[in-house]
Amino acid sequence: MKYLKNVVTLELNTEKCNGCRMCTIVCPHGVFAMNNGKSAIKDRDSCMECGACMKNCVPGAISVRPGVGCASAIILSALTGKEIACG
Amino acid sequence: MFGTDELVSRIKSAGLENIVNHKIIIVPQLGAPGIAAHKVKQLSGFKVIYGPVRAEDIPEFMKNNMVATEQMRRAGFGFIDRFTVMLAEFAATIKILVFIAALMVIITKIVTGNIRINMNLFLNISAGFVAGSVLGPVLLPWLPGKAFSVKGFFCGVLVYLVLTVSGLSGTNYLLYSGWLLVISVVSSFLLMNFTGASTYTSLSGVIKEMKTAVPLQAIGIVAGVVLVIMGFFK
Repeated sequence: MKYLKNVVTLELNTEKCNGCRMCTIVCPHGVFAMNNGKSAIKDRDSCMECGACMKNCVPGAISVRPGVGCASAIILSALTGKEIACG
Repeated sequence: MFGTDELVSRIKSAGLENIVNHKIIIVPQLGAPGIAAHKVKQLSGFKVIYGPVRAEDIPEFMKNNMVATEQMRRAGFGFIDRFTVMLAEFAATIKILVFIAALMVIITKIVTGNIRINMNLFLNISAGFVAGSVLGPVLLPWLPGKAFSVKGFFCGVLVYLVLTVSGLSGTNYLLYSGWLLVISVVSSFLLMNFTGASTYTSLSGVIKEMKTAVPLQAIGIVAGVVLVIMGFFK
């Protein structure tokens, strides 16, 4: 299933990529694919911003703003100005 | 969230290196958002290998020398997944419905001296809740739109149509239009909230849809409630 297009904060710096493939292993939505020994974003709109790729990228080639998309937490957070977690 | 430090501390406190003769620990793939594999290796000496998403794939994974297929590494959001998660979310919304019923009992007792639950009122309110928290998740792939608030809105309209056909959505145009707004907005809001339980929505996407949806929902619910109240007293 697909969510909204062109919204995610995912960024990949191919220059820093060392070709270890960890991003292709940990991503649950197949966002990355190897291309000539380096990682490339193949399906940006499937990214759910879980942050697993960034967490497991040793050279720090990947950045994303992780967070759970929990609507009530976002509203509470906007109203109180505090960081609210889901659940 | 389950993290690197927690894993390292457990490896140490369990004395894992004295119990097994290898230095490999398998972490379920969905633990990856919290685990930096290279740091676990650095801090505990244990190498993290990410296992499949689903436990049922473990035997195949192990037979395959701990190499996962692409399918094993994908998190879907199929019917069983949605249904399971829906039950958990619904358990939370049930409390709100019970609270509303209790409120009706208290208010009618105070105002009229008798306990009266207007069944039609309670039914229509419940319809909005059931649309957004039960039907919406179940019908998710087939509801129009990509934003959950939009899908929820249509699900509410669907439930409203069922009520209308059954003659339950009102007896005058104020009630008809009021209930349409109340039910569709409640459903829209609740299904929008379901994004937190889904496996494919991003925070950025949810924020984007909320910027449009929430103001519309606020206006809609106020207008709907006003229309319903006016319709009751007509």
